[in-house]
Amino acid sequence: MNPGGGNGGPDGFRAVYLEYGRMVRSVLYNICGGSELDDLAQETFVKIWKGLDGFRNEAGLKTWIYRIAVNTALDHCRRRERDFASELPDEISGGFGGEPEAVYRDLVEKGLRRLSPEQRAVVVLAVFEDVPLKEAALALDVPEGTVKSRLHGARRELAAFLKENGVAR
Amino acid sequence: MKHEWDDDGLERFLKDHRPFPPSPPKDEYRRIMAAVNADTRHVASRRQWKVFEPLAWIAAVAVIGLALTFGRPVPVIKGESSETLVGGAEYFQAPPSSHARAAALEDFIVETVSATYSIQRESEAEPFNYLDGFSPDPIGR
Repeated sequence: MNPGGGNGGPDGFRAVYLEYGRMVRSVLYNICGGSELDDLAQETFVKIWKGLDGFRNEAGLKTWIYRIAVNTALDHCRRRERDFASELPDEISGGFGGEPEAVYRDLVEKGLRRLSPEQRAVVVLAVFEDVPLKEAALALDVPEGTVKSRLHGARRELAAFLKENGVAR
Repeated sequence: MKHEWDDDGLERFLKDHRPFPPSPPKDEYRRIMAAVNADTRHVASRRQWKVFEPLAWIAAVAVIGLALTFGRPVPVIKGESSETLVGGAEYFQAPPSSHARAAALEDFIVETVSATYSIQRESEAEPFNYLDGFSPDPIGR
């Protein structure tokens, strides 16, 4: 990998893919759902390949890759008429009698669907990926205050949803 | 089990139960590289086209200009017996600024003028009969 500039050829790019491939898929999946995940991952890595040449290490490679992945996901959400919200069945998998872990996971996924794509992007970065708010703001290209307010709204929405479904008091 | 949480507790719960994407296809990297190569080729050909585009335009304009200047159609003049092609072929075949070329042009002009004149004379001698083919008696008596 050559974070100082130049895409480092196929070997350098392969190193980037091996290091960040899982993270990119996770970001895309949690913002857009799984229906076109493979295509979106490919689109993201083509953009990374094209951009590695001019990458100047201002915000760190990881933040830069987050930024590309999130932008690809949000662009896709805007292009698509039907949002990720209508992609999953409404019932919780296994019902409430199933494995609690699987039920909770389904609930979190369903809760995410209730958020706007921008709120989902903030939750994905700040909560799932543990990205500090300042870096998340850089990755999303919005002020830090916007990240905070989106995160606050998303938390409130998710807490209400989990309460509705009997997970929280 | 009911959870009771503040913001941190909620975030921990979300993190612990975050959805995971399905595993990537086994040939994902190969597919990505194929897409990268296709994109690289596309970009290269677009770059080449950007270089050659002005030249192509200049060439196209030059060809059209030459065609309009020199590519006049060879006049076809209906002669007495059959269609005769009186061409400027000799003119174009001769080297430019040569006597042969000037002579060919002169012959061409003379032939064209005389052929046109003879056609005019013919049509004056036998005016076109507009009633030719029509019966003088429309009822057929």
